Amino acid sequence: MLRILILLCLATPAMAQTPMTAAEFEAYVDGKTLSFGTAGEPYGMEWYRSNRRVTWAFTGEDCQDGVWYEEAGNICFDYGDVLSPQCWRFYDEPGGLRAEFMNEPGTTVLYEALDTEEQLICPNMAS
Amino acid sequence: MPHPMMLFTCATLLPLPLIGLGALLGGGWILAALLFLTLITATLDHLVTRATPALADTEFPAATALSVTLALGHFALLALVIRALGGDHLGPWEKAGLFTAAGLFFGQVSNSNAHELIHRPGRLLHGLGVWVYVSLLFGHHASAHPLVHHRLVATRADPSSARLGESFYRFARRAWKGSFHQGLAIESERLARLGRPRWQHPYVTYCGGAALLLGLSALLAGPLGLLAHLGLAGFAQTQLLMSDYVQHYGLTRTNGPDGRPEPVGAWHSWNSPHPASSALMLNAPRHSDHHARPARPFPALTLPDASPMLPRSLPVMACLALWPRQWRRVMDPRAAQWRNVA
Repeated sequence: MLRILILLCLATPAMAQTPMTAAEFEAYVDGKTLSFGTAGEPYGMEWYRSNRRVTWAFTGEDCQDGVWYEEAGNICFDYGDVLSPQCWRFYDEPGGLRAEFMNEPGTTVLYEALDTEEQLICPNMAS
Repeated sequence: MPHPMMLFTCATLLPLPLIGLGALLGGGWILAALLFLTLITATLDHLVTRATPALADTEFPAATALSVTLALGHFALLALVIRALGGDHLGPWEKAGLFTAAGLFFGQVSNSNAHELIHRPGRLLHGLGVWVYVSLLFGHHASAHPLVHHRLVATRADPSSARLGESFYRFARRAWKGSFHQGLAIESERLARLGRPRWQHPYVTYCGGAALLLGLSALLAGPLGLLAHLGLAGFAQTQLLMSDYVQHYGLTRTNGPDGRPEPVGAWHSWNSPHPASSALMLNAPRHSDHHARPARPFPALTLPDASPMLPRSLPVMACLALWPRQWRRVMDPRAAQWRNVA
């Protein structure tokens, strides 16, 4: 019986269907620095600070400060630049977060990289 | 078939020297510019039936170079034309012709180019686009377009989506005021959220910049020059509003089970395949694809097969919009066909 249950658990695709709420997202990320990748390639890192402030850097690029907020069921990020606001839906999965880009649905999906040694270094910033 | 970038470059750059020389020397140059922007474009639209293919690259250095050139050319031309209209070396007919030709260029090429630039990442390119709009006294469009229109397109909440049965004149008033106020509200909200000082509010640039440039026109070309600047800006803004009116008229996004509007699809914009006017307007008539991929540079924009198509080119339809009853007779049945597509 236990074997069948285990087999069933392994066979079911571990895809969460409901996006995380702002509260769930905040509880998950608060104080952490997360690494994201797409299709096996590193994409960027984000440091989630107090008061929903963030510092983001694309892999190999300068850091940008911003904020996140909830809007229309999405988690939106504003870095005060021309590409902002950028809105995503996050899903809590066993392998880490999955993020779907909502500005242009169906284009970008990011996955949190749990086993990475990467560090967020901001040479363009004083801290 | 010539390379698409050649078409874009020729169509948009050729009017610059024609109008510039018209401003300096008057006479036949003005007529040539007028003919190019109206009859020649319309004739080519009529004769050339095959739509220009979309380019499949991911980067378009030539397109960027063209956009920068057009933006710089815009400022130079605006200054030249204001000076000429405020001066006394051109006769009244020449001034009327110059005003029309320059106004058409600013309305169709400068507007389209500025629209392209404000969708690009990178502060330099974006800033260029902002200042083209500021010089046309329409700076707030740089905020309202991506933050209000792209979010709310084809819903009743969007000031820049024309409703079925709404005349262009009604729409224009609603769109101008609505985009200004809603853009202001969103940017104020962003400023507060980011914790930035008030002087960094984009509207400070829009309004302050407009005042600055109007002052410059008055200083360099006198009261007539100031009037010319206002007139050219008004003419260009009207054309932009006409484009906006045509491009979503009567198309609406239905609300899903969660009460939110459906995602933007190809059937929420009006397109036109006409190659000459598309070249002049940097593929602005490929509007469905622009809303699907707002960051996509203009040479890569496609025309989806099953998407709303205007019966005539965008400039021709814009003219028709000035006659609301005729407009509705042509467009209302067409819009009705697309309203119930799931």
